[in-house]
Amino acid sequence: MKCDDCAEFVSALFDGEKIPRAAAEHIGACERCKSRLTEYAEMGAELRRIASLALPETTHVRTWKQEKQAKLNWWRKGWQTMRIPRFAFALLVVAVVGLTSGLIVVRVRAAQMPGPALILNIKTANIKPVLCPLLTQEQHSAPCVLVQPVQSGMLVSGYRILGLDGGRVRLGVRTILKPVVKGGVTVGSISDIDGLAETEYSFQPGETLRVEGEGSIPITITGQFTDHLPTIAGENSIDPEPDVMRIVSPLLLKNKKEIFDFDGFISTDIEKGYGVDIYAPEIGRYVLALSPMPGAVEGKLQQSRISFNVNGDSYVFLMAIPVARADKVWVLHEPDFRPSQLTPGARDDQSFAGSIALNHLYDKVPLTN
Amino acid sequence: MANDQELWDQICQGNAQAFTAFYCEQAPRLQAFLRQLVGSPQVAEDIMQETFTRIWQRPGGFRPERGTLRAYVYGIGRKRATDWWRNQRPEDADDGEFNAVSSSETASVVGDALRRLPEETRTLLWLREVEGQSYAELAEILGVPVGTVRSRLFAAREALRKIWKGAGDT
Repeated sequence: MKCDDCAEFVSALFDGEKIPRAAAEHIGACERCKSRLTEYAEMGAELRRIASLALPETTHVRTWKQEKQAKLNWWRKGWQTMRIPRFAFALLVVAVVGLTSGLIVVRVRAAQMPGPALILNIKTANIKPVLCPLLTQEQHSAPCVLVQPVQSGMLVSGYRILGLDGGRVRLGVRTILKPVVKGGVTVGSISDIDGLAETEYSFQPGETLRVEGEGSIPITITGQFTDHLPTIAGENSIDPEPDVMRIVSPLLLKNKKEIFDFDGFISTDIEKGYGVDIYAPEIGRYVLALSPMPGAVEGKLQQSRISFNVNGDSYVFLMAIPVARADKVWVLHEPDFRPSQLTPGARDDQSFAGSIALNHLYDKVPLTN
Repeated sequence: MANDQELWDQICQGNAQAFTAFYCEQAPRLQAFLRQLVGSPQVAEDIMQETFTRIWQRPGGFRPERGTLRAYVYGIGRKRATDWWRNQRPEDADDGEFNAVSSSETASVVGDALRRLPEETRTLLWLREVEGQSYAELAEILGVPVGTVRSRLFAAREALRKIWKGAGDT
C-alpha cells in the first residue's frame, strides 16, 4: 500500500476509527504517514487552544419560563399596525382580512432593560406613525418589526441598528410586501423579513430619512436618542383619546384567579365598530369593543379595569393603562372558538391576539381564501 | 445529566430547570463555535440565543434515533449562522470585524489557516477537533452519510495542513 492510498486512513485513525489491516501496517512502518499523523495531532491541539480562547468568559444568564403567551399568534384584520418583539414572536402568523382601523403594538424587548435607546418614529404610507425603540447597546440584534396593512397588501418591515458612527446611526432596513390573496385575506409573519437583503442607511437622529419599502411603499423615519426605553412603546399618554379604546398587557381574572396573561401586548386606537380579540386554547376567544356585539355582555369600565359576569362567574380584565374614556366595554366570550374555523390551516393550539371588524362577527364571514 | 431522551422529554414538558442546565452546559461552546462561523461575537451570541429560544419555544424537531441532542442543537445553530451569512451583503463577508476579533485572540498560524478555509470545512474541523463530535453526530449536523464525513474530514485536514505548512514555509 502506498502513502497516498493510506492518507485518508491516517485521518480516520487519528479519529479513533478502525481502518483496514493493510493500511494500519503501512502507517506503522511509514515515517511519512506517521509525520502526517503527528501534524494532525498538532493541528487539533492548536484548534482546541484557539477554542479555549474563543469561549466566552460569561454567558448571558437567562431565565427559561414556561409561559403560554410565549407563542402568541396575532391575527390582524384591517388597517392596523403591530410591533412584536423579534425573539419572542419570531414565528408570528398574521392574517389580515377586510378593512378595520386601529393600531396594535407589542412592546419591543423588555422595557426594563437599561441603557440608552434610539426611538424611531416610523410613518408607513398614510398610517399613523409608530414608535420603534431600539437599544443602542444591542447592535446587530433585536430588530423592531412592524406588520402593517397597506393599500396593496401587508408590509412587513424590520429595523435594527447596525452600528453607530459618531452621532449617526447605521440603520438596517428590510421590507417585504405580502399581497392580498383571494378572498381579501393577507397572511404574513414577522419572520417574512428573515433572509431578505438588508439595506443600510446612514441616519442622523433629528433629521428625516425617507426610504422606499417593497412595492414603492413610502416610509418616513425620524428619531432621537433617549437615556432609556419607554415603558410602553407606542403609547405616551396615560389619558386615552376620545372615542377609541386601547388594550395594554391584559391580565384576565376569573373569580379573582388569574387565568390568562398577555403581558406585552398593546393594542391602541381601536375605534367603535372594531374590537380587540384575544384567543388562547384553554379559554377560547374574548372580543372587547366599545360597541355592542351579538352575544356580548356589558362590562363595567373603571380606568384600567373591565369587570363583567358570564354564566355566574365574575371576570376582570386588568390593563396596564386606562382603556377608554367610556364607562362600559362590551365583552364577547366564545369558549369553543377555534382559529381553524375561520382560517383553514390556522393552528388551534397557539394563542393569538389582534383586532377585528365587528361586522365579521355579525356576518360570520368565513376567512377563507 | 439525564440522557438525551430523558432530557428531551423534560424540555418538551417545559421543565425550565432541566433546560437551564442544558443551556448553561452547551451555550458557551455553541457560541464559540458560531463565532468561528460568523466572526462577530455579538452576532454569535444572538444566534446562540435564538437557537436556544427556538428549541425552548418549539421543542419537537429532535429525533433521538437520528443523532444526539448536542448534534441537533449545533445543527440548528449552524443553519441559523448560514442564514445570517446569506443575509449579509457580499462586502460584509470581508469586513474587518471578523479578522480584528479573531487575530487578537487566536493569533496562530493554524488559526489563520482555519479562517481561510470554506465554511463547511471550518465547521467540520471545529466540531470534530474542538467539540469531539463523533462521525455519526457530524453526519447528523451536516446532513451527509457517515462515510462522507470521513472523506471530508480527511480533505479538511489536508486543506488546513497545506495552508499551515505553506505559511510555515514562507
